[in-house]
Amino acid sequence: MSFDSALGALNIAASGLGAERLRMEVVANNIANASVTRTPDGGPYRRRDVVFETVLSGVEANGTSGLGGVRVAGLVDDQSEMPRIYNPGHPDADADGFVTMPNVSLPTEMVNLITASRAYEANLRVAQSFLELSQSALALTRG
Amino acid sequence: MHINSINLGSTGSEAVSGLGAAASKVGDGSFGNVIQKFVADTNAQQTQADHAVQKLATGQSDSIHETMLAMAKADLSLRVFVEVQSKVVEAYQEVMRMQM
Repeated sequence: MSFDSALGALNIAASGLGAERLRMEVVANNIANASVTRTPDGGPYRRRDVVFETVLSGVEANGTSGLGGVRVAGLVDDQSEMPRIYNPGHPDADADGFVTMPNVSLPTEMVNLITASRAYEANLRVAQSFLELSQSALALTRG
Repeated sequence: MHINSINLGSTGSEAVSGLGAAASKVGDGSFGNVIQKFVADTNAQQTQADHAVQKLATGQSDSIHETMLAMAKADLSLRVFVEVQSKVVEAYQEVMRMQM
């Protein structure tokens, strides 16, 4: 669409908003599963993280910048070690009475949550500024 | 948003299709064609915004920002179009007022 190319900054901001929204979803999932010891794959829950990748779209020759924003490359499992807690009464405890807990640490997740929400706000700000600028530019015709 | 799309769908394209017919004798890159494409573009943005709202309301979409941005885009493109259109009409009237 031809008019869409004039709204490039808006589309890029939208991609950022979508990416940060997904990051927030992943953080929510990590926090919700912070003490889950049973998963369909067996073993305790493993913390997940999002990986973003940049998008280069279109050809730079035909007047567009070729910038396409960001895209979620996928979710990865955090391979760090799982903490083992002594709790012999737990149904998932091993022979020595230790339970393997998820490698989710709440402080880290909180920091990630704040990062995601600030990044979301930043992307919103970009979209807002772009709209404001466009509206000011429109006022040019009124002299 | 809804009112905008109705306006553009009926009166806007009719008015300009007349313009396009008059100018089509001149060539493909004529002013009429440019305007016609402009109208189609603006209309497409409106339809997109409509679809986005519908998808959000019916639960097919889960991103509020996509919908809001689609609406903002539709609003902006309509404003641009109205601005261009009013300038064109102004110029036309200016020409018509010319002393013979």
